[in-house]
Amino acid sequence: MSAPPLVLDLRVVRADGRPFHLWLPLFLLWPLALLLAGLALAVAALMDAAAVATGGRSRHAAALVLGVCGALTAARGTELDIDNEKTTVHLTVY
Amino acid sequence: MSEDRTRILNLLAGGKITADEAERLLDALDAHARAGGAASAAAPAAAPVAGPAISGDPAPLVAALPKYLYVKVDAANGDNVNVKIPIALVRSGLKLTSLIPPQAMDKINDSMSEHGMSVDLNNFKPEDIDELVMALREMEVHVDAQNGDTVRVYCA
Repeated sequence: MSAPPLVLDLRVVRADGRPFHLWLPLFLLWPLALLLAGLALAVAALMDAAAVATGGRSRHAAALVLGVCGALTAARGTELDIDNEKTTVHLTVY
Repeated sequence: MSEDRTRILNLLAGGKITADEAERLLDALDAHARAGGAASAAAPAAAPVAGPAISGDPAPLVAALPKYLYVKVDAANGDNVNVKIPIALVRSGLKLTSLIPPQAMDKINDSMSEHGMSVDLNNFKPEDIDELVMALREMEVHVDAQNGDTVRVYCA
C-alpha cells in the first residue's frame, strides 16, 4: 500500500475575480482519519457479524470500509485541470 | 531458479511490484529465454552463452510501466480538461465495484442496458481486476470529432 496523500492543492482562477488558492495539509488530518477509519471498521465488523448471525445477504461492510480507505490512500498523484474562458481550476493531490 | 527470476520474486515479496508487474516481467524473461534458446539451437557453435535477460536491478523496468491514466479533452470552444489518475486508484475503484450490494448492482445493470451498455457487472470478479488494469495500461483512445473536439485516454 502506498503512502496516503500529504497535501491537497486547489487553485481556482476566475476571469472576473480574485484567485483562490487552498493548500490543505492532509497529513495533519491523518490521526483523525485513522480514528474515524478504526471506528467505521469496528461498526462495519459488527454489521457483518450481525448479518452473518441473521443470515443476511450483504456481508461486505468491513471490506467496503477497507476498500474506501485503500481508494483514498491511492489518490496520491491525482491531478485535475479544468480550463475554460471564465474559470481555471487546478487540483493536485500530493 | 535463475538470478533474474529470484530478483523479480524478491521485488514481489518486498511489495515493490504488484503480482501483475511480476508476471509481466517473468513473461518477458521467458520470452527472452525462448528467443535465446532458439538462437543457440540454430547456431550452437557460434552462439555466445546466454547472459541474464535483466542485467542489474530490474527496478527501472518496473518504473517504466505506466503509473497514471490520463484523460485529456480539448474542446474547439477553448474548454480544456486534463485528468491524471493513478492506476492504483483505478484498481481500488474497480475493487470497490465488486463490493456493491447485489440489489444495487441489478439497478446499475438495468440503467446501463437502458443506455445501450449491456455489461453485467455481476460477472465482474475481483480476480479479473488485475488483468483488466493490465490491459488498461496498453489501451489508448483517441477521438477527433468533426467540430474540432479531441479526446485522448491513455496510460503513461
